[in-house]
Amino acid sequence: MSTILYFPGMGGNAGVSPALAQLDGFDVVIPAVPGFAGEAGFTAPTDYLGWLVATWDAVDATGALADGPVHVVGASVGGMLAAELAAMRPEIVASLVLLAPFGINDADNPGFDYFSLRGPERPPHLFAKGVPEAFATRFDARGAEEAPVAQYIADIATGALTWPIGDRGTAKRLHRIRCPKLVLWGGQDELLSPGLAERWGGGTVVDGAGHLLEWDCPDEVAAHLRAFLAG
Amino acid sequence: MSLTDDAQFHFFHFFPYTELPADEADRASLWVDVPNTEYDPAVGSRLYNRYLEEMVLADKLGYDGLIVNEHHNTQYCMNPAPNITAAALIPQTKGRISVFGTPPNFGYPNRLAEEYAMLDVMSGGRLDIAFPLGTGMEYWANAVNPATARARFRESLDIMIKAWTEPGPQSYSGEFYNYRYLNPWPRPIQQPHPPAYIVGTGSPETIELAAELGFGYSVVFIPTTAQLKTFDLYRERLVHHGHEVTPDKTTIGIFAYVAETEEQAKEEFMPHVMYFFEKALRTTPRYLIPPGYVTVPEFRKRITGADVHGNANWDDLVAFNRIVAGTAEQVADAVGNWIEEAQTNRVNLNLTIGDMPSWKVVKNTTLFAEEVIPRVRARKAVPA
Repeated sequence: MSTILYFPGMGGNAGVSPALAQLDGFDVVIPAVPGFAGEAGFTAPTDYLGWLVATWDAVDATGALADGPVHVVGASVGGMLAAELAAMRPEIVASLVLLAPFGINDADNPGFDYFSLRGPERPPHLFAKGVPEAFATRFDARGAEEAPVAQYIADIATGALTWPIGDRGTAKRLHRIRCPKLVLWGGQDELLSPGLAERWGGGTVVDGAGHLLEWDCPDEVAAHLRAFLAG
Repeated sequence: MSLTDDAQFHFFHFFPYTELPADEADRASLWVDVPNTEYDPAVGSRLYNRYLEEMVLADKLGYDGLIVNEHHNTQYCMNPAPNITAAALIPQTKGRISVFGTPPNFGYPNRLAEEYAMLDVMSGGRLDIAFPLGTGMEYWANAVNPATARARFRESLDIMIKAWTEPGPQSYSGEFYNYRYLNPWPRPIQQPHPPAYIVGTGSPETIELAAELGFGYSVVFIPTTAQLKTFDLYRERLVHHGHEVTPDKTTIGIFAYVAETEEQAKEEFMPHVMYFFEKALRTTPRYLIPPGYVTVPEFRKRITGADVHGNANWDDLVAFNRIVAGTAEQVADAVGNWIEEAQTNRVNLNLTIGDMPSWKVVKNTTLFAEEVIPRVRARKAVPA
């Protein structure tokens, strides 16, 4: 069984998305990037290098690299981290899937200012088809009082990487990505324009999907993933 | 000597831009994203000169000091660089000048240390300073990540204190800033540095920081009863850290208006207080708490707390804030009570607020100086 490292995006770690969950023959592992699970005690790294090192540490901690290079899927802000991983540690990435990644900004079309909303108002803007139940309840196991706190922590983590604009110069490192790459984008993405796919070397637009397309259109995204990973 | 005998009255001016956009009533926020095309520099020029004249008048009337503050992207305050305003006031005044203050996060700490030292030297040692983290709104206007705001704030303070208290040149290596030659010229005239305050909204972390550093503590935008609790905690922590508790270490903010009768005072004052809380302060919760701006414990408090920005009615405002409008006797009585209740002798006075016209500012500032301050200072302490 092959391993997929999955980096979730805005909203934090809501578990394996429905698109990845329907892939047979893959073990999907989510590296514990600091803060994304809304864990208590989180302190944001003070700079981007700190975030990248924390991400690499999280990847190493999964133990998934023991058998060689792995497939990497990154969504949204997780896509930015996945792209950096592929650029800066290319020897461990067998293939790269980017789902509406942050990392490159379009100054003329900066997209919807997600963090200008209050916490509870944010998730609906991640989806074109309504907030999936599994996503909406992702922190409910913490209890009614702690769930908003976990969401706040996850927002600090994702916000730290994308505030005020989610561009940390990734475009300057794209030439270092040498593995096969698939870029998918939701046609109804409010946060990042689908036109940005061209800046990543071209991609496929999934019509009817919002920013977190692996939740909005799991069947279509899974079909693209199967075809890519089989290739 | 009682607290009121020794009360120090500082005249605070927000420098508001009061010609609001025609569609202001439709705007959820009058901070951050109101187009700056709504700012008319000609109006701004007139207001700057008017406000500077009002502050100079307050100095001539004998107020112990003048206070300016800093905000960005807003009609609330036209002082994005209050050190410039302070510099304009210095040659025209004799009392103390408080810059309350520039958030260290929005510049380089060595530069802020230099600027404050400049003002202190230029004024002959009349400078007081306060260090705010900056409201959440400021983080939308400045290129600083709120997730690291508190760590950056603490490091900036450490650098400034080091620059002021240890001989230069020295080196500094931190998370955010590295200096091979930390050696700011000039040095402040008040040694080791001007009297300093931390500005907060009652969070235990900020109180602890002020107490640890031995700085004063200035609390804003929380109800009066909550302020008193923060003062108790601050004094307890100040002692814990080995610093002396003095009444000037805490400040209270008072909104006051004096007129011939109570009815006239309320009639003349109330519209401008309502303007201040309903319009000048109007912003949305989304701008108040960008991700990471508040600590997790503070976030827990705020998700259940009241929103003071832009929601106002007179009764609540008077209940939660130190607001008084009345005759000189009534105002002096209220001010004296608040001073004794808070065990402080430093009063930051909002005698001009919101869209108050200059004639009212002049009247109120004059009556308070001539009729209220002497009454407060002559007051006999009320036994606890």
